[in-house]
Amino acid sequence: MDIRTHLVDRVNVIELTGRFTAASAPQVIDLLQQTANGANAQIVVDLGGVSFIDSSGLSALVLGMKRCRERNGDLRLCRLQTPVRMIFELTRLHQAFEIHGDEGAAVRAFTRAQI
Amino acid sequence: MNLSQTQLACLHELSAAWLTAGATRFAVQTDDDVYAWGESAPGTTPDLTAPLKGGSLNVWGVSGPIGLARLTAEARLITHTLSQEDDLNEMTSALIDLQDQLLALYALTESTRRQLEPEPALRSIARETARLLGAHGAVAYVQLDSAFMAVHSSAPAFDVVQLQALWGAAQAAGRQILLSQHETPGLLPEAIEQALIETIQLRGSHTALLLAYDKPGGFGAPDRKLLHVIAEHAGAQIDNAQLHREALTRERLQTELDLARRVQMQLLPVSPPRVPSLDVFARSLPALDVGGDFFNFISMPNRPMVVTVGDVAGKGLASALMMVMAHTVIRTGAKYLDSPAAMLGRVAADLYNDFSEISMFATTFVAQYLPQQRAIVYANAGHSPVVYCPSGGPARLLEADSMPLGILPDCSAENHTLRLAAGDVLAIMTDGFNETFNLNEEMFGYARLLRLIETQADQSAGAIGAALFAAIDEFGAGHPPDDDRTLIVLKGCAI
Repeated sequence: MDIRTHLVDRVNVIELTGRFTAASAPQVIDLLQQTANGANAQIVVDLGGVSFIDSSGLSALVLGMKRCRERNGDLRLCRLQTPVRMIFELTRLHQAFEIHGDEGAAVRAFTRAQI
Repeated sequence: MNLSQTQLACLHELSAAWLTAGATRFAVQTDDDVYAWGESAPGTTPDLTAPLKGGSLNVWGVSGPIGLARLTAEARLITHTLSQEDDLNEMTSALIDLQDQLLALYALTESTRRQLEPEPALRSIARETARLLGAHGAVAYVQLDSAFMAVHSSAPAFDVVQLQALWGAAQAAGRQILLSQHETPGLLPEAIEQALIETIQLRGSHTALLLAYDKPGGFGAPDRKLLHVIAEHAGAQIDNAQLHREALTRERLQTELDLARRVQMQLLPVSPPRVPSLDVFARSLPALDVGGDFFNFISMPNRPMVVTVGDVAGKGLASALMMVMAHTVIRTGAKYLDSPAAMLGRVAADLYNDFSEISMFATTFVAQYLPQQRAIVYANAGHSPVVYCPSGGPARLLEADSMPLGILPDCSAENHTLRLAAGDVLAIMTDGFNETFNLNEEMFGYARLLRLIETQADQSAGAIGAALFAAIDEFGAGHPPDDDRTLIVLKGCAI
């Protein structure tokens, strides 16, 4: 899986591309933990390039979300493809995350909260 | 130049020839000595003289160009022979050095080959280096996976910071270095006069060096060569020890996983319960890694039978452990709690802290079968897929109304009731089914699952289960299963 990161208005944006499974989850967990422990525990995970997510992938996101919230931040999601959205809905995990249509909206939700 | 007995014997024959030819005295002058035959004539100048390697040939009592030509030719011949002898001596000495190195290496190999852990191997290397080089002491220093190991042949003389600095100096030089207190004060501890330092090349980018310090008379060329050879050997030895350790770790981990899998498998029911009016199929096939699938049938006198199916996210020992805990809490709860939603609430409350600690969660489906009503009451915490196909169809997915357990301290799943009369089918699976991939990287998905259950719904629970496993196996042929596959089929039947 391809992982890219960039910073928008002090919000850490992580773009994932490919299949998010047990094979790639440890790498993402490391990155999410490092980021959550960094200066700003505000993360947007862009799932636009993720065609499939299994329970290990979901688990990695839940872990990241919990770490961020422990540090008064949050992990938000954006651009879920239909199969991925379906998995979130079937497991009701869409209730656990704040999910946005695009990266801009997810970042703005953070910056609005800071004002 | 000192002449050997063989050389002197040859020169003696040569002198006899000159004396027979009328010479009064024949002498070989070397840098440090004079070898003479015939009359003694101290202080007189020879009549003929010819240069020789490291001295001269001198003759008294004969003169003239013929004599000089003869003496010069003999001097050249002797010079040539002496050079050849020198070369031979040098080669012999090199061979002896090499032989010494081979013997030293043999001794080192003998002393280290049984050492399969890095630290004892380093200890042997340090001890043998000091012994073979005749040094006061030696140190083998390695940084492996953020662990520093500095092993001294005798009392510790260098600390880790000094060794790290010396490694940096040798690494920067790109070759072996010889440091002395006199020339580079500050790099060596005060008590050390001289140190010969070589980096050790290891698999991966590890820091490693071998050094010998303080040899009476200083370190010479053979010592430098020997240290280089020992460092090469040490590199191979440490790599071997490291590989051995990695293999042991893998083996240990595999044993633990095998044990965890056996514990898991023993928790799963051996055979489905016999319930009048219900046809039951249950099977769980673990993937290669230890997964977190679990299922159970809990039957107790005067209480409805409880069915649970769950999946702890992730793989490995932590998932297996959480699965065992969830399994146990539900089984205990089933004894006195009235409804599936209450049981899920109990698991959520009891295990939230443990799940949170390791940031895991478990999707869990719990159902009670009420034979009088021919109905199922279920509650679903994030579990999928669960397919209900009423007699005559169509099949549909039962969506969860709560997140998986372990994300929030409570569970919002509610009780739902389904009819399970003759011909109605409920199939509860884990995601290993719908998430099976074929060689074209297509996923089996929900649509195929629903269609398959619809077409098989008039079969027995066993036939439906077998058809589902067969379809998944066929679809994913050539693709080893990534996840556990657990399936329970409940089908209402005529009493």
